[in-house]
Amino acid sequence: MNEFFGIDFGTTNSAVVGRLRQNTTQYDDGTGQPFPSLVAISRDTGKVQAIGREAWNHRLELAESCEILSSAKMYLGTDKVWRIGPEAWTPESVVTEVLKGLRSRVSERGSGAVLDSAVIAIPVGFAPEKRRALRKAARDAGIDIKGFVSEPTAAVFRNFEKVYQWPTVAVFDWGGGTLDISVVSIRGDVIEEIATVSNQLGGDVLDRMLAEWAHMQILRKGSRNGPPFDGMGTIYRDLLLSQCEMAKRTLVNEDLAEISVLRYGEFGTVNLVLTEEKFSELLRPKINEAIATLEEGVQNRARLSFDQIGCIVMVGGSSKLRGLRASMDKKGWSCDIQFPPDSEWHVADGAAILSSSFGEYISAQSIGIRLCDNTVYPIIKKGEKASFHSHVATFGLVEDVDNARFVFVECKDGAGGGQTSMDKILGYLSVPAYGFSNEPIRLNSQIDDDLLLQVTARSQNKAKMHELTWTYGDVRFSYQLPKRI
Amino acid sequence: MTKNSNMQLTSNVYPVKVDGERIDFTENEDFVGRVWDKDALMKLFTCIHHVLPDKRILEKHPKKIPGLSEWQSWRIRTPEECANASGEKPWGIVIHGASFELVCKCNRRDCIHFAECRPKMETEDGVKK
Repeated sequence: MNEFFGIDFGTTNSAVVGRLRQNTTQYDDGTGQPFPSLVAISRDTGKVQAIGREAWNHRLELAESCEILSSAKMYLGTDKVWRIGPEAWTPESVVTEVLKGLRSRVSERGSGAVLDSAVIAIPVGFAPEKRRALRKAARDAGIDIKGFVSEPTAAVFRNFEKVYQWPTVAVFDWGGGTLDISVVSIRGDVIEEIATVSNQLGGDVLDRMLAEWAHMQILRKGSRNGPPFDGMGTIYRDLLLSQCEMAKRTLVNEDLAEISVLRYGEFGTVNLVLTEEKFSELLRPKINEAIATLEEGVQNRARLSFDQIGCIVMVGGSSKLRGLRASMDKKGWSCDIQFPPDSEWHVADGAAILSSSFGEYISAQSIGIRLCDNTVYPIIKKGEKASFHSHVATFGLVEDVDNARFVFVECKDGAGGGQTSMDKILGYLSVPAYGFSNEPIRLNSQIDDDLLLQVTARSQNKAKMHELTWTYGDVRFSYQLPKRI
Repeated sequence: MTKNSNMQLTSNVYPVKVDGERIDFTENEDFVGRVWDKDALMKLFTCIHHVLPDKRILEKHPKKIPGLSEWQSWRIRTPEECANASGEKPWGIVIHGASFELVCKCNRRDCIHFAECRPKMETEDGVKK
């Protein structure tokens, strides 16, 4: 029997976890770490030369003959193209290679498991075009996406036994690309994200900060002028960055870390020692910023005090920083703060749990159309199951114009409909019309597999080509747990 | 001092009930009651009465045209521009919740029709006495 897989597709690292009954397998890259989301492509042939850990380990040598593409996730759904040799690489095709790498990790274990379908965890607010591009990239890699789950919700699933007694839990997910805070309510078997905040302060920002510090030390040691860090060649910058990233990992458990580069451009061989004390001093402003982001999520977005938070779950590689734990302890919050030891695998594992027994997404908000008389016509109601949502309605024009305008709003009252609307506008859709009295404008709304609300409208007097769609990717859902969790 | 916008964007549509594949807009009273645009009302009149809304037809129904409300009938019948103030359209609709009212908001006190158009001016809110 094949395993149930969950994937945490990260900006800098990706993790895949397989579950079969009570057994969990973390498909690491041979070093105990998740798989670097890195692809090296030959400048001559335009073909893939190395991916994942291999690309990361041999970055310096590879950089002489290859373009090394990282952070493709950030460009998903955009028109970005890398022209390398005779080939044109899109973010989608780069992501396909990373996912193929994950697939290989699974098959290389020799257990017979095949990564052919998975639940993928995505960041909060992951745009519709990014979701579609990720789904296509996965399909091209031979992986069918069974469903998406938000990264913080997946982390809650993974830690459900430890947190289910708290009505409100905060998830602090500090990954390579972003820091995401989610405040989650747990009512019985229903989990709902009640507030989220994201900060671009990922682990790579910390690596760069360390690399700039290291470069300054190198300049000082040489007692002479030299180029600034940004003036160094890409190869040398990447090399120093990777050394700093390793030092950062080392300092999670050790008091000293070495930063050694054999050939750092015109500076030759460089060796530096970074103490835990200096490391904490350098990173303190960023750690304070991370904690301020957590406070923003809890106090300003969720409008709660930390006394009302039962527990904070710390996940993602960067949440292991020693200075972070010390700074949080100093805050004197009464809530429980959990630092799971293998936190970089928790999001993928939570997605794997979902993959084995998928529950139900339920809309946590009501969305409707603000009509011509300022009342609201509901199209999706709070509490409605996403998989069952399908709504068809017919409208008529109240003015003689050549377009039918729909104004979509969030209804604060919950149920929506009927009452005068002073609610938040979410979007617009304007479809061509003739302006006849008896001109039906047919509207159809549904929630697709990517959890996007798709509303299409067309005048029935116009050809099919005039049908237009409004896509909304920020519908708030709560999640009803499957029975066995 | 900053002020919020005092305008609200709304759709220009209203739902209609569908009976199988058949839709008769003129039988959808709620929908018909929301049509406000003069040109749209003229077309609606034609749909209901199967004739163009010419002067002779309109004179047959001096107060309320069958199938339309009083204010819609008034709107079809009345030129939008004031005959005594070129370019001015002081008559319009005021929305009270889900209902509408036709009012004149002209401030040309020297006009001979002023008292006729705004008989309640002295008691209207927001108008200086």
